[in-house]
Amino acid sequence: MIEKFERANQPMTLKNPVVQELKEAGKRIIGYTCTNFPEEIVYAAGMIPVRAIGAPGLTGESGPLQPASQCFIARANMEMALGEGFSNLDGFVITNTCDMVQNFFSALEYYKPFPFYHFISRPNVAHSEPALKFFRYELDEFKKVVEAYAGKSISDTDLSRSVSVYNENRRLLKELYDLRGQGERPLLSGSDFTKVIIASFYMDKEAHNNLLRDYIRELKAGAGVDGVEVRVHLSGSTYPDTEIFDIIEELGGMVVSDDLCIGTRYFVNPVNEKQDPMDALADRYLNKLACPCMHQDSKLDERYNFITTQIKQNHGQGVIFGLQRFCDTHLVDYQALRYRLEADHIPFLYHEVESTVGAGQLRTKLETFFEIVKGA
Amino acid sequence: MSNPESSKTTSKSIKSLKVSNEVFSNVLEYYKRGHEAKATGSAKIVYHTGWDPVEIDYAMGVIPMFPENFSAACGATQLSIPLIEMAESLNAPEDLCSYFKNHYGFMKGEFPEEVTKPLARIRIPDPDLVVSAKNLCRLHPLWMKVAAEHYDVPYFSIDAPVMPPRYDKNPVAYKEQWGAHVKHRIDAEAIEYGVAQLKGYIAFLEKYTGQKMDYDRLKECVAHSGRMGEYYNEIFNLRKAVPCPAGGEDLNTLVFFAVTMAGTKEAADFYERTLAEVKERVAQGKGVLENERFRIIFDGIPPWFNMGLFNYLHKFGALSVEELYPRIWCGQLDPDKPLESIAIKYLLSMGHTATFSQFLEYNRDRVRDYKADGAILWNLTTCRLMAVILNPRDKTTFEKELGIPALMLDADQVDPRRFAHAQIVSRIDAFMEMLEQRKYG
Repeated sequence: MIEKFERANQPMTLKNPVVQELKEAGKRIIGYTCTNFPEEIVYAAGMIPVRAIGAPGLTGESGPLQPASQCFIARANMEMALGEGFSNLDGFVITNTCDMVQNFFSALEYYKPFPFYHFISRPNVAHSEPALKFFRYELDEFKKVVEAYAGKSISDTDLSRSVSVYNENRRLLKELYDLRGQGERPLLSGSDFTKVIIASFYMDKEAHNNLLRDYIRELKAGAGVDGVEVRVHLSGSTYPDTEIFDIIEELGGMVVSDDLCIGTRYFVNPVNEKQDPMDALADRYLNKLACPCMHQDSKLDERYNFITTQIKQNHGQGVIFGLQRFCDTHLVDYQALRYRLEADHIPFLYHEVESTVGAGQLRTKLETFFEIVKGA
Repeated sequence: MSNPESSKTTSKSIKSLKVSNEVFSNVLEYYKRGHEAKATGSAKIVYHTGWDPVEIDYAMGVIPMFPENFSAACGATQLSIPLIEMAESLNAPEDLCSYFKNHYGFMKGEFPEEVTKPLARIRIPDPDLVVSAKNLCRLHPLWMKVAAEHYDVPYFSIDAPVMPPRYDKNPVAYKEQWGAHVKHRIDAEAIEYGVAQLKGYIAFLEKYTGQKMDYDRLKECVAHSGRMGEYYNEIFNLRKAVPCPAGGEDLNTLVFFAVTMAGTKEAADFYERTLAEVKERVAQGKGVLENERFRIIFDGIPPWFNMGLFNYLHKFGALSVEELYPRIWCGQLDPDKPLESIAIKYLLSMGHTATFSQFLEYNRDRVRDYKADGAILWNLTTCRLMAVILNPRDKTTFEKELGIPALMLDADQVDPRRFAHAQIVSRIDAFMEMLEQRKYG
């Protein structure tokens, strides 16, 4: 039944049949870029948040506010926002996370391609009371503009219901994630897992939850995946498709765990349902699993601990860094993480991706890497 | 005034202000003081990134040091290539910030004597503490975290909230744009957050120096910095004069004091003398050029290995009369509100934190006030702040909104390998020819 998820795998929303159906059903569709965006507030107002993760096959060119020296994801998103690709969106909300997103925000501010547009100034330090207070204020401001745009107020009940739907999605995604790596034999591939998670960015979360329950049931009754010789952890940010997973699998590898923005960074850390929903959302979106956009003292330790825990729990044999070219935050973090991996004798491979993953070069590197890992 | 050697890839600039020639000896003296403090343990050495609130350091009696400044010095002394190549051999991607790679290569690599010997003169002492504010780019705090891990010393990062577009609807709070202030009132919540960040930094310093902040001393430092800011801002204002009394070759050098010594009497006094010299030139109607024909805005971190390019403009009767880069360190400070002032100066001004509309408003004022004929955008291809945020905004605002031509040149600030000299010079030549036709027909 993976085809049902694949149907929603088109990041260019104009060509995504699931987004089009939601649109035709009268839903307002709101774009966002990063996992640090509190989707629950938009969903509570009856609108559907959809995520901009670039799209394969684009040139990434769209004028002077679109320089070449930024990652392909940012360039492709801008090409779609200023061109046709996102023309069925009603609005866009930016949460500042990296300098590329900052530029995207400038371009949207200048060209004004969407009727609804908002910017949430999110702190870049976590586990800090002043940062939490400021972020909470920013979320209140955001809630007000969403209410004004929706033409109705968002009650605590609306928010709590929204949080509960999203938490159920997180729980199910975690259950699915564990089916890959926790047992001896993966019950689904890394590629299929990614198709499910990408679909979650474009479907109504309740519909996604229903599909996910059936899929998990089916997988648990299935035989799993044959021929997995090397189990790896994939570290990075975002890819617009499953190409990197497919190549790893073609060569006998399997991504069994990750710290990706289209992976664990999206669904670990549920929102605390016992707290006031706005407080809980501020806490979750500020303090969730560390990513390189955060820069407080403990961040690298948190990241590294997460990676090694994932490797341990999922029986991983090495780490592949599949990093977007020009992504300063990930590229600098890698410089620090690699020394920790070396010290712990964990094999790793570094590879940069752009509009494609650079299949030829990646295959050659992976063949050697897998030999090293198997011999270790 | 023009420098016949200026068209070489690595030429130095010739300055027109007398005070500018005192800067290099002050740089060496500054480093010397740092090394002495390190050797004797008389004061902690704190590493910073480019635009950090050093007034707090001077009030606490610690010595700020700047790896970026070290990288710039490596560029100016032709030492950056072996360091950057070392970083790249250690898997640092080519597209990463050249300043970072230069310092990373220095930290991690081993070098032969022909490199270590000249490096000894400009190397900065190892840090006792490391800090960085996220007000220019997001690489800064991560770079400093890598440095802190390398030297195994405590680290602190200061956040700078990005100002949302809704602030643009707030009333105008400043009559003029000081340094890099935005004009509109900033929400109290953002200022409160900025102040809280600074209090966090003070607590960090208190913890590792074992000393409490003396707030009277902080007020004094803020007063020195405010006085420095006034002089510095006035120097920029006087450059509106035609002919312009001081060019980019001077201001990009003079900025050293504002970056490293804001909060000291020494820095304020230095700019007081600079201002006196500039005032005198304006009173005498004396410009850098005898026949000033074109007034240029130059944006970007300049090529430290070839500052002679500023002089190269002179042969066309052109002068860089205004630059965003040295200007960002001018701050208007109120000693009675020290932390609030510092927060506004460093954490809530133009950097990457401003919106497009604020940037447009800023450029509109600059083009009008400085009577700019054109702009040169020194586009650092490894710098996301310049190449992705500031220069594309500049190009769009100058050409589409303000009607002046802008020449974007892909280059670097310290890596001469990324500098195609012949191509850069021929593009400048063609740009000047176009300005000639545009202005004089």
